[in-house]
Amino acid sequence: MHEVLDQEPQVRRRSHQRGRIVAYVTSPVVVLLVFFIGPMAVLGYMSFLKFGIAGVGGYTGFENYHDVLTDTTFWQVLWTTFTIATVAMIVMLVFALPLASVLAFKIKRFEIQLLLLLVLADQLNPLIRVYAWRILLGKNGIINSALEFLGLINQPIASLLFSKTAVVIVTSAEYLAIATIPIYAALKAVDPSMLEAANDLGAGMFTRYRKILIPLAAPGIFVALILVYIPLFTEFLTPALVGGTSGFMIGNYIEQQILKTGNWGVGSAMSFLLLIFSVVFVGIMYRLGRIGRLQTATTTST
Amino acid sequence: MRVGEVKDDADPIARGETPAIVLERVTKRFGEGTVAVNDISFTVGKSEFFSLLGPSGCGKTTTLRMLAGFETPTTGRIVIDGQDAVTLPVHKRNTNLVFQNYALFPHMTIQQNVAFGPERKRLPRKEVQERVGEVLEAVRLRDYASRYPRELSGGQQQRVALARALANRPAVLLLDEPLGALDLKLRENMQFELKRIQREVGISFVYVTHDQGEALTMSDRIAVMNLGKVEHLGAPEEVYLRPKTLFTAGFIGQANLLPGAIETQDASGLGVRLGDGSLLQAETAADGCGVGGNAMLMIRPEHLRLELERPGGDPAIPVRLKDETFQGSWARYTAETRDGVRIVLLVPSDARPDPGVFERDVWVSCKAEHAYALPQDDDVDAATAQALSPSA
Amino acid sequence: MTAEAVDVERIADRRVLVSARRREIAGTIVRGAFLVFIGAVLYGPLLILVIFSFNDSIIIALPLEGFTTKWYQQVFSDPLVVEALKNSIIIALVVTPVCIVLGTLAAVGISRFRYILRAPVAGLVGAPLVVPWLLIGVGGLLFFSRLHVPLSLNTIGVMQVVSIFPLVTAIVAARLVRFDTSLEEAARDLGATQWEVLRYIVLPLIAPALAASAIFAFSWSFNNFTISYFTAGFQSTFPIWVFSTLNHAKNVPIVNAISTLVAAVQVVILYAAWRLSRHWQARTGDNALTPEMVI
Repeated sequence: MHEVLDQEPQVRRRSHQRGRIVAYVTSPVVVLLVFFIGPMAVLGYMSFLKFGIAGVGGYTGFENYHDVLTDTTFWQVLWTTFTIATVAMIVMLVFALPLASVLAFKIKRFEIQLLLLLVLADQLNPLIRVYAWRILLGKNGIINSALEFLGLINQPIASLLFSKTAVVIVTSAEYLAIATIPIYAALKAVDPSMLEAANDLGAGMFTRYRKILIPLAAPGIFVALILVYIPLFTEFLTPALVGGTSGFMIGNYIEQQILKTGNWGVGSAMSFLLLIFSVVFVGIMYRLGRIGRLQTATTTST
Repeated sequence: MRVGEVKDDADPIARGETPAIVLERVTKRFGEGTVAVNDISFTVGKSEFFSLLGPSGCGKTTTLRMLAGFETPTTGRIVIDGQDAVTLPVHKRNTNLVFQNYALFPHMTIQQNVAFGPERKRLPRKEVQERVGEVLEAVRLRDYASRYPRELSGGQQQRVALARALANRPAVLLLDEPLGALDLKLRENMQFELKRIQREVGISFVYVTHDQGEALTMSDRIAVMNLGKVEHLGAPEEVYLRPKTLFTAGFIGQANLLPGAIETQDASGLGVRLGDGSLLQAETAADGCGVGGNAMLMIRPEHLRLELERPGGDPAIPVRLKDETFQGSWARYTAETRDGVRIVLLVPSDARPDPGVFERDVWVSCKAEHAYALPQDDDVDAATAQALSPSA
Repeated sequence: MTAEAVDVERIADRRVLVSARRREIAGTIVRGAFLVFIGAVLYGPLLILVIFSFNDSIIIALPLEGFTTKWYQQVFSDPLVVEALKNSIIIALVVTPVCIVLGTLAAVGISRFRYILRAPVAGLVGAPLVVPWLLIGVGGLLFFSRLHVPLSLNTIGVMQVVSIFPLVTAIVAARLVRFDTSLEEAARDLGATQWEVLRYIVLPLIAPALAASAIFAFSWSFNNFTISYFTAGFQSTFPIWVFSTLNHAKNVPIVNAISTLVAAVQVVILYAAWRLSRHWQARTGDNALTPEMVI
């Protein structure tokens, strides 16, 4: 008799808990299902429909995808996008790694303040930032004027603006902060005396970088890649403002299909392909960088 | 002769009082089949300092948490202050818990921390303030009321945790290894303080610890636990001098455990024939010892006397000394009997023998009143004895 | 050893020391220059913008013409700008609390309990963070058109919420994981009901994470371009206004002026947040703003 009675509190507690879980999780999940999965599903669905100037057509199978994949412009744009994104990513890493390591190891007193300045740079409106760069890069812009003034060039460099180079420069600056922070976080979890020991044992700067810094920063680099590369790849604002015709990226192409030519079928097909690419990319990076371990490491070290 | 049942006159029920806590056949089973607490029963008196003592994993913390309400027993009954507690949720119980890591609210001042409990009871503000002042005074931290926990030292935080629990005037105060994080000196001071406060306030304390010295110092009664069961429940003296089980014997203080067979039994005690042939007298014994049975002779190291010549009076065991460790006022020697049993003895520093003693045969003698026999029934006991014997 | 040999050694030691010091100083200089360069890259363009916002010339190029505040006056007399700013602020003010609520609910639901569906729920919540905003915007546009819902500030707001509350979840969950549950047990032991535990213990202690999320969400919502662009109807937000202005007229100085103002406000807000977090840290020893949170 005792046993039966005393089972009750435990059983009651468990169903109590289930009720609470549901209470917490329902609204976020419903919102996501309707307004996130919904749009994504519609995107996928639309990619199978034919769209003409007259409006919505009927089911057309994989024709849209076929059109996309046989479109030479598409591949050109994709190639441009790939080169811009990859070059920008590399440029960013070249600067982000030393920046992160300087912040993590070398600055003693102002570390938090400098880190905050970094965060602040990212919080400023991207429109403003891109616009400011446009001023800088123009034929009559500051950089050209300054270079001419210093006598380094005879006439303004036209390709500084409305070119692939422009997009690379501007996006590198735009995403630098986001790329640096995860690397910084990964390095913070490392013992600084390791670099000093290496120095002490005779390793020059490049060796120190190759053999110690980069491997230790690796998880952070992968996080940076995840956070930055796909946004870079799908950039639409920056190439629209400073890319001109040669800096035309896939984001712009999709916008053109969706908003300008009304070719929603093709546009969504392109989008869906891009979606698959993004998911696969993130998945691979996550695996390669063994990000799960980084998360536990950084959360337990606080 | 005092072989046989020992009257437990510290037990409140035996004294005819209403207990503060009654645990009746409580078992706690966790999901995968682990039994943390296995059918234990005990009572705690109204103003008693009661300790749950045992190694990690013995179930003492789980038991405490069941008293507090954070765990529910799988089977069994718990009665706190006359009320059946198993159905009572945590916040309605008349108990308060002092956490091992203090669990002070970091975003509140000491004053607010201590006031938290009384405020939840909706007491009028004046009374809350009075109570807070009272308990802070009792733990001597009145001047720190407006500070934050992070500004206080470990010992001070400890006292605030205690004050915070006492401000609620619970029927029983539960303490979960509260002194674990403190250094030795501080710990000793706090033990004294806790005992004093318990006496002053007059409520029951249920104290969980793995430090047997602590339990012996502070408790009115100790429940020695192992693997979910209570090995021995009794007053500190009894647990130390006359442990009921081998585990208790080995866990409390240092104990030499010498296996042997019971040869004689008369008014003055038991005669135990040890493995190497020596015959020793034990004046007291636990239940279950009889002529013809096997026994473990328990002798505390400080009760073994080193004899350089074969003694005439008390029975003695021939041994070879193995090594010596200087420990301040005592010197600790490990030795081995003729049949390979390891023993430890303590000799006052100023009575140490010369170094040549390691080459010779010597004897250790023991008065019958210091020898205590425990039944050794099977291989389990033998294994326990091996595990508990003082390492060389 | 002879006196001579000792002297030689001492000179050699000193030379090593000197060259080591020189290397140290060189290193510091290089590092300093590097940081200055980075600072220039990150903030230089903005500074130029600020300078030109006071420049008395339509053309945004050197040389500087003269000091003026007329562009600022133009800002407030242009109804389009004011409207766009207002819309952005309104959207942000609505989106932020919704994100905090949904984000916190999800964070508690995912990090506090263990149940079979936990992994898929966590995956669902994390999904918007993986999908590029371009696609969320396009998807939103197609979704609303399919449902014959007219595009407006509401549609912008909804899509923004869906994109950003997962980040709030990440921030709050990170805090919850570190949360000392013995504090909650202590509160219950002292007589607090579940609700009181939430109110007096949990919420105050995760407040910094909530505040940081709020500032971040507001900032993000205000700055958001891509998603808003696709899901906007006839009303525009501030970033959309800037974009269309820049596309139709080469360089409009009014943009400089408004940008400076917006940037100034953002700096002030972030600085205030920083000071508050320091104050909180001094009180409770809890490190509220950690780099991990910003990720």
